Amino acid sequence: MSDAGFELSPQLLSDIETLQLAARTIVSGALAGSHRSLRRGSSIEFSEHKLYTPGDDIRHIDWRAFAKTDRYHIKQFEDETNITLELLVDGSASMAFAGPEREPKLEYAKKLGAALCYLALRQGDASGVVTFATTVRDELPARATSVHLVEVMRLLAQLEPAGETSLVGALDQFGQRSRRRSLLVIISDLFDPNPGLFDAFRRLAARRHDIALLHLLDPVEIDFPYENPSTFVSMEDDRRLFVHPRTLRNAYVREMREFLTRTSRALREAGIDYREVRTDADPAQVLGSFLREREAG
Amino acid sequence: MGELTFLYPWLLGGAALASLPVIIHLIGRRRAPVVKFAAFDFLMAVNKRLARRERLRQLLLLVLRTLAVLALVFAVARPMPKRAADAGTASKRVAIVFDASASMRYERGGRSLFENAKRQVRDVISHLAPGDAATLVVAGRDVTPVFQAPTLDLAAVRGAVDKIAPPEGVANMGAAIDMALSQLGSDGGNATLVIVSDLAENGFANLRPTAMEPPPEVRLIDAAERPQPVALPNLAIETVSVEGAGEQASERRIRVAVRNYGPEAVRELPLELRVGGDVTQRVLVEVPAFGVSEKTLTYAFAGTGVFRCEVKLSGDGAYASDDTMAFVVEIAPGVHVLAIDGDPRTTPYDDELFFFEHAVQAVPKGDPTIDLRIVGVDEVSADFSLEGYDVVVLANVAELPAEVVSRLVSFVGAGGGLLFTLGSEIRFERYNALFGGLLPHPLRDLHKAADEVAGTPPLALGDMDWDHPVLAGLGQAAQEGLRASRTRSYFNVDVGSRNKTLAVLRFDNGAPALMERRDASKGRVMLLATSIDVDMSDLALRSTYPALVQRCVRYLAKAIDASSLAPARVGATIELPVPTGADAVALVSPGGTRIERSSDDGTRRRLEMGPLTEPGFYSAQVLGKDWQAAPRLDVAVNATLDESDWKPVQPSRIAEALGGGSGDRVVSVTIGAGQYDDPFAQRGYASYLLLTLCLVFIGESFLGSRG
Repeated sequence: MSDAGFELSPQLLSDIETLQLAARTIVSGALAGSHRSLRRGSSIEFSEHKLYTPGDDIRHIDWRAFAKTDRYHIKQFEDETNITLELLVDGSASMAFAGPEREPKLEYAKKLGAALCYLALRQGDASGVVTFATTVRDELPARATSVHLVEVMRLLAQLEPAGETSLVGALDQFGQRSRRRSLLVIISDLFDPNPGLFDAFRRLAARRHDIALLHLLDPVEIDFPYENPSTFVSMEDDRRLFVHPRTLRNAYVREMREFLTRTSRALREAGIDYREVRTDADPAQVLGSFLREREAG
Repeated sequence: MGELTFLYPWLLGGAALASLPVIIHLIGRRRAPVVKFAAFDFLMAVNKRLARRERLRQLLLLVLRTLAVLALVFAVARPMPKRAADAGTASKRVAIVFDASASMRYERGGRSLFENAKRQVRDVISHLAPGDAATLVVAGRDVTPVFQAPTLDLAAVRGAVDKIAPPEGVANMGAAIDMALSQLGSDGGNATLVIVSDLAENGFANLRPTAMEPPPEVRLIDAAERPQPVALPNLAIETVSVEGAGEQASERRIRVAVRNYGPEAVRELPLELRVGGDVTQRVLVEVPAFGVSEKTLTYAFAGTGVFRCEVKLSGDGAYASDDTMAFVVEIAPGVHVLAIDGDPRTTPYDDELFFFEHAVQAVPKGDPTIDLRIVGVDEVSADFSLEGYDVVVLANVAELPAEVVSRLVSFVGAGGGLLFTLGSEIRFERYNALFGGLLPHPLRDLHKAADEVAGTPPLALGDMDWDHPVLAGLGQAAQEGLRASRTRSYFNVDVGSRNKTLAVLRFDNGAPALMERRDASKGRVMLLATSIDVDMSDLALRSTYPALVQRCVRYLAKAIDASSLAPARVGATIELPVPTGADAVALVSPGGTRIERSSDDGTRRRLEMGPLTEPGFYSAQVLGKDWQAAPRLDVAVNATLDESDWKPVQPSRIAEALGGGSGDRVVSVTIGAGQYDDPFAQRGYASYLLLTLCLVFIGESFLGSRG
């Protein structure tokens, strides 16, 4: 975590305020007329024991466990368990892409991520943020304090697009560090040429994380509406390509559709909540839809 | 295709422009907009898969665009086959003879041959290549060279064709061809003579051999576009003659000859007689192929006077000019004659007017009457009236009351006719004193030609003015009768007088025998220098005598037929008789053109008028004191038949006439447009290249749209 030594410049403060305001707006829009949480379903099932600490409700002391271990254990149930939101945001250079008169994907991701963290903290859940490109770039451990929200916002606001996407490395790195079951919300354009991408998701899912992937794409990346001969430049390296877009459009669109279908199928089979998000969609609607469907189970 | 050459080879430098598409392609690639794209890997993958096909498409597009530029450059450089005959000069010289004669008015399929010919000439010109030279000679009424030499300005030649005047007249194709060949010069290489005509044989009568070496190529283009060389169907009124019908004075027999110039017989063709514009008779005629049929119409004219008539063929519409023939018929009125007998006798045979009376009364059946009254000189008192008479004859009258003489002067001044005949009663001094103001010439003395003592024979008649209306109607037999007459004595006249006088008959010694005074007075006066009976001459015994006397009194009464003025043909020059007292005559054409001729102080009997160029009726006028209409001299002019026969000329005949066939010399004469049938051979291959250009553009558009 790189929270030490940074200065709150006026620009950064402004960015944080803007992001926070956007998060509130998105959340209020998403929760309009209802009360939703990030929790998946509701439960009264026993979940785990924890050592008694002063202040815990003595009604929940497990006396059987006390008889066996001679220690006070408090029984905890599922619906009482605080969830931990781990937000993984792709900060690679390709996330800087923006279609005409639209904001870059990264800015969209920041708003969406900030809204999720805000929602979690408002419900008393801890939330952490991890940004990555080739590897994990910055990490903010999950906490449930109100001050923590400012930290989240600052991290997101400071995030600049750079580097090649290596989602596989980032996921594996994150998986090795996290020991606690969490709700992982990954926001990325998935432009990682590594063929082991789906395996990385599967490995992460095997750790019993509740994983949701918000696959962020600009409509231009789907429809490829260019007309005139142009030189296309890669955003993550130095490659260039002169093409007549009209000659390639049909094949490109077909290729992209197949990729999306393939990705969706593979990830859902791995138990991952996959969602394709276009940056021309209203973030509030995207979040609302996400919460509704999770609540429905 | 053969060897190629270019009309504008310097334009081939434009082929460098063929590199333009490649340059544009490369520049376009360098200046293409740069787009940062996130899903670049997808783009790469797709491009890799389609790269080969796309490269091929781009290459094809480049090739097509380069071809398009090359085709355009080559087209404007005007490639064409190199003519073997050119030998360094690609130009061709063409002289076009355009037949604009009246026969080109002939209509086939709703279009005249004239219109066809214009189209054909335009077609010939349009098939000439730039650099070729052409000239145009129009053979209409006159042969007109439109240009003085072959010109490179083909547009000007085309414009001249549009301005050719409507056809008229008789074509002199020989002169036109001479003129056209002279414009081509002496070298016939690369020279072509194009004759656009109805190819009527009549027009090619005056061809002359050409001296050009080698002879030019001659092409005949048939304006009638006949698939076979056959005569075109046409009927024409060949002649019209008018004669008395023998029953009534106003009745005439009109004989019409219709000729069929076509190869098929014609049946039941309507023929109309029109008098004064009204159809008065309609009959049907049958005319054999290439034959003549004669039809006789009998018509009684209403009253006397001059009638304008036409006979017209209906239903032969291809060439209307020769379907009508106009003519003038004069129905003369009867004549009232007063004869004063200066030597009346009880014995009829001895009477001065015995022979005259019988001659006048012998009017042929159907001729207008002559009403004769004879009075003795003693019966003529001072108050004797001349009213009601057209002619007065003073036969051997030596004396008359002065009042009567004065009345005679008035009578002649008012248009009456007066005939003096002499005899034994005449004393010339007294006669001159009494009638000097009326006589053509004063009398000088009595000349006794026959003298038995001296052995001199009587005089015969010598010079005779057969153009004079009195004599013009007499035939050959009448001439012989007049020449056989003998005169023993006659009065000499003083020809040195200043009177305008015309001798109609002369004795063989040159002395006037019958003379007419020609001055401005309205009436006519004639003098017979001998007796009208047999006292001084045996003229009265000759068979010609009755006709001569009748024509004489009719002439003096201005009632002689003018039908001797036969219908004229267009282009003809006619001789118009000068009426007594007229100083000039004029003819006014149907279109208003006036032809005026002076009679040179009244000495000329006939005046040449013409050429008469318009068909229709020419109105006559005579100048006395003023110009006055003279309908008796009206002239009908009809289209010539020289242009009525469309029997086609044979190319071999033209070739021979132009000098072919003499020695090894060959003049090539063919019918048709010949090599002009192949437009590309003349225009070069620019059209092919432009067509290629179109196909290239279509291909380029197709390939471009596929992108």
